[in-house]
Amino acid sequence: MAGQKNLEQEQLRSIELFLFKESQLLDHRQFDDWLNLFKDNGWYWVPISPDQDNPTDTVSIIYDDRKLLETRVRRLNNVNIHAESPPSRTSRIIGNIVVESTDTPVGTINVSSRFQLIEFRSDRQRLFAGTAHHILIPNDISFLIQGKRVDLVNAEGMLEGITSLF
Amino acid sequence: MDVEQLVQADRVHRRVYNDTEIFELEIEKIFSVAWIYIGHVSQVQNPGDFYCTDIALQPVVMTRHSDGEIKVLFNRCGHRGAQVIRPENGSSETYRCCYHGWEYDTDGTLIAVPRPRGYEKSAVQPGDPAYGMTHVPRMAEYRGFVFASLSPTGPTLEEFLGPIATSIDDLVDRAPDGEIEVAGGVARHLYQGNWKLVFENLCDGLHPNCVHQSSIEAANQQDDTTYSDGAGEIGVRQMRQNGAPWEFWEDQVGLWAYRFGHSYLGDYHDDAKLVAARNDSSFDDYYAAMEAAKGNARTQEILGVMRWNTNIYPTISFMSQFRQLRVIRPVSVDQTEVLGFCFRLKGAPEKMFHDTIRFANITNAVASPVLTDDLETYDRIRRGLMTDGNDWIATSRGLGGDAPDEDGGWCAENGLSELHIRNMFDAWSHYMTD
Repeated sequence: MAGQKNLEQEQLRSIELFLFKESQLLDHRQFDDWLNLFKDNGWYWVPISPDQDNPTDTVSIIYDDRKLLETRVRRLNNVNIHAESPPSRTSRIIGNIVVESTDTPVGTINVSSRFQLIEFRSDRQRLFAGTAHHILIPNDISFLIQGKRVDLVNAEGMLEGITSLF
Repeated sequence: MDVEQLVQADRVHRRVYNDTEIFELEIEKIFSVAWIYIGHVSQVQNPGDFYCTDIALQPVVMTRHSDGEIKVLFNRCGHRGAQVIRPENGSSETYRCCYHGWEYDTDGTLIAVPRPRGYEKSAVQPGDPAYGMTHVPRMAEYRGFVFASLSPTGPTLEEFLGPIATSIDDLVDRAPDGEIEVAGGVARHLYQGNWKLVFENLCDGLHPNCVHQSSIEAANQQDDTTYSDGAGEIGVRQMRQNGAPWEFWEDQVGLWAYRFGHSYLGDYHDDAKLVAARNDSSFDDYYAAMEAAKGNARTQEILGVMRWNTNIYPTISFMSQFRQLRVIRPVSVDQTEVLGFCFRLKGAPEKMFHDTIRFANITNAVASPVLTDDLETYDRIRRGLMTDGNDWIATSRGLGGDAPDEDGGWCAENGLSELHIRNMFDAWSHYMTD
């Protein structure tokens, strides 16, 4: 039993380190490296409501398959992106990390976490908060992201343009 | 300077975008007079259904009454003035005020007052229209699109729409079953800038190559073999299309403008250019459903209409090919809300609706790689117009090239003209000085 508990602790610690690394890549604007955390058919989703159950028949704040996510990230790195001139600076805190479930046949791990994100650009500071749901695939060194869903607490709100990634 | 001097043939004064007094006058002279888009009948499908919006900054509610008729009511209790219905949409057999429980029928009639004995010697009586939720002065519907006006007099809705009604026809006619419905949620955003900017931008063929340079380049560099579940296919294609050369806009795109400030961009694309819907198997099913319902000749005629954005001044901009509609709601002189709606074509394959959603995500979502550069531009206009360096904004592109159109409007020399802007300001002047 103790061994099992240690394994769970170890897994949780490695997930925690992975999520910290992910958030650090975003805060450091290393978007290409962030993109590389995703599996080659991975997806990234920010619904318009926490109740939204699929990205197919309802609009989203963001729903990117791998192709669109690559284009989104390439645009963030493009010097002519007016919405990021000057660039945003972000700082985020990740916490309340919980392994929700494990899909044993496929080996994926469903993880939820909470975040708070301060964004500053030009002369304005904004606060975002919400829950991230990661579907993680363990590999030899760490994890790959099969999918990431981000539920903003104010997803239904009247928001101003968003370029930051959560 | 008088209001009539703010708009000239080839330029407008910056006050039309940033003067609070002008904005208040617009609310009084334009938004309280013109036909304002309220919503689509499908948003209040069943008796008791309601949808809340506003006209001229005033909360109103569209309801479906128990007799099946649609009503547009001021969203205000007849008693102490509280807003009666708070959720944006929903359904209820009666509407009950949160404050003292006055209860209204779905047509706004006051039907119950708790503890009525205190009113025995007063004028308050259930059923008395003076204490109900007041109806807006005028409402009318065109093919499922509900409009209302706070002015008891003025042109009818049909007169107001004029030839631009054909753009609504274009949207509705594309449904094999002859009906469309609002579906798929609302994409909303707020921007720092005047409400007129979005109308000007949506038929502005010159801006995409500059404003959207980052997303155009990112899309052009995208590896087409990368995995996509369909979202990326449509998104990347649309971003690339924004990069169409100026010659394309000059040679293939038209711009038409009509009375009351309405306009549309036409001939912009056919299905093959943008989504390649004609190459998708779902298009064959759609085409077959259209032919079965309408016959071959009529189907060809309907699908032969190639309109991009249509602006119905001063509240909506929509397009038929991806079934999108934006509602533009001024909040203040330099703040504007935009609500993006999607339509489902009844009788069409569900895959087409999924494409509608994908298209909305890339064009109307608040985090869209395309839209966010437009919003930044509106904010920069807001900032730039604060300067005393120059009071005037040019609206002269294509001036002199406008030709009368057979329907009584104007056709621009090409898709890079600012005809639609001049036309909106022409309507603006009429409203503001009337």
